[in-house]
Amino acid sequence: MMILLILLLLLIILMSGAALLVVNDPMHGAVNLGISLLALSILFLLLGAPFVAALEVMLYVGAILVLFLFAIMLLRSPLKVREEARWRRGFWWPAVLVVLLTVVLILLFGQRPDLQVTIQEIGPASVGRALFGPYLWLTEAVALLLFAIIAAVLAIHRRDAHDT
Amino acid sequence: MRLFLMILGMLLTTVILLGVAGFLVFAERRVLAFLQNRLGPNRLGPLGVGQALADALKLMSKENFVPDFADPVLYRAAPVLVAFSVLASFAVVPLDQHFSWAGNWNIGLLFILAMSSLNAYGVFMGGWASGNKFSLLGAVRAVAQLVSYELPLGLALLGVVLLSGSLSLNGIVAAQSLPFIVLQPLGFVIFMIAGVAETHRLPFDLPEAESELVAGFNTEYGGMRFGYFFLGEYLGMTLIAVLTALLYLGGWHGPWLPGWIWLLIKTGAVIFVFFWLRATLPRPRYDQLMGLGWKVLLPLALFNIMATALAAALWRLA
Repeated sequence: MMILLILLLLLIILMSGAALLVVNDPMHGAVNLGISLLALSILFLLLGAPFVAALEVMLYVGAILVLFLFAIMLLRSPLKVREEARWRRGFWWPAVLVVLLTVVLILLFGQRPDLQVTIQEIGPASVGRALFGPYLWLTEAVALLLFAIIAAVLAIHRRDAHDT
Repeated sequence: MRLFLMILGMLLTTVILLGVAGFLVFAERRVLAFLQNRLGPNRLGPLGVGQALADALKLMSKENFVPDFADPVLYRAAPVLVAFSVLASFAVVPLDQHFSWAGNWNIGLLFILAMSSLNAYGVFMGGWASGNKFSLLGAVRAVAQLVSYELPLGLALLGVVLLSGSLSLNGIVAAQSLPFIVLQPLGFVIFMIAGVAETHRLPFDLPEAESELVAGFNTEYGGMRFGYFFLGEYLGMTLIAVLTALLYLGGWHGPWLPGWIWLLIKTGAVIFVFFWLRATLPRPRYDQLMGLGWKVLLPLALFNIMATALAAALWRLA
C-alpha cells in the first residue's frame, strides 16, 4: 500500500517535472512546478519528515514560487501564446541529466542489495534540537549569508541623489 | 467499514462548515445593518435566517460559464483550490480535547500556515486565469498582501509556540492554564491584524476593492465558482477566529459550560469583532498597507519573539 502511494507520488513528480519543460505558457510551467513540489512534500510526509514537508509547502510553494509568478507576470503580457516550440529548446539537456542521474542511482543501489530503510518519524522538536545543537554553526553560517543578501538587496535598491 | 465511516464523517464536517459559512454571510449582513442603524435582510424565515439558503440556491442555479478569453483549466481549478485549502485547514482544529480529526498532529500549526500559502495560490491563479486587467491587478495585490502578512502572522504564532512548547493545537490549548492573551498581548494584536489581512477582509480588502478594481480577482467569476471564493473568504474568517480563540483566548477552558460551547462562544465573539471592524474602519491606501506590514508589524513581531524568549529563559532560571 505504502509503496504504491510512493510510486504514485514519484510518477506525479516526474510527470509534472517533464510537463514543466514542454508546456507553452510559462504560467502553466509554474503551476506544474507547484504540483511537483506539493507531491514532493507528501512524499516527505510519508517518509517520516513532517516538519520538512510543512516547510516545503510554506517556503517553496508559498514564497519562492510566488516570486517566480511575480517575475512571469511582470515580464510578459498575460495569456499570450508563444509561437516558437519550447520542446526543442528547453527539453533535451534536463532529459539527458535525468537519464544520467537514473543510471547513477541504479548503479549505486545495485551495489548494495542489502540496503534497507526503516521509516521513523522525526518530529519538529528533534529537528529544532539538531539545528540548534550539533548543527548550530551551520545554521548561524546560513543566517549570516542571508543577512549579507539582505544588505546587498538594500544596497542595490538604494536611491541615489540623482535618481529623484 | 472504518474507511466508509471516515469518509462519511469528512462529508458531514464539510457540510456543517459550509452551513456555518452560509450562515455567517447572513449574520454579517444583519449585524452590519444593526451597526449602521438599518434593518438588513429580515423577510425570509424567523429573523431572516432563510436568506442564507436563498442566496445559496440563487448561486447554485446560475450558469457556470468560462469566458473565452480565460485560461480554462486554471480558471476552473482556482476556486476549488481556495475552498479546499481552507476546508483542509479545519482538519487540525479541535473542537474539544477529544473531538477533532488531527488535533494532536505535531505539525498542526505549520499545516495551517502551509494551507494558507496554497490559498494565496488559488486567489492568484483565479485572477491571472481570468484574462482581465482588473482581475490581474487584484491578484497581484492579493499575493503581495498575503506574502507580506504571512510573515508577522507566523512570527506572532512563534511566541505562542515558545510558551507552550508544542505545534499541535491540542497541546497549545492544554498549556494555557492562563490564556496566552495575558502573556502575549502584543502577539495577539499582531495576529489579529495579520489575520484580517490574510483573509482580505475589510479594512484590508484591497485585492477586491470595489471602488478601484470592480471586484478584483473574482471579477470574471459567476455562479457557484464565485460562491467558492465567497465560501473560502468566510471560512477563512472562521478559521482565523477559531485560531484566535484556541491560541490566545484559552480554547475550551472556561467554567460551568462544556468546553466546546466555550470555544464556540469565543469564536463567535472574535467573528463579531471582524464584522465590527468592517463597519468602522475605512480602507487604507495600498502603500500604507504594505508599510504597515513590513515596517510596523514585522519589527514588532520580531521584538515580541525576542522578548518572549528572554522572559521564558529568565523564568526558567528563577
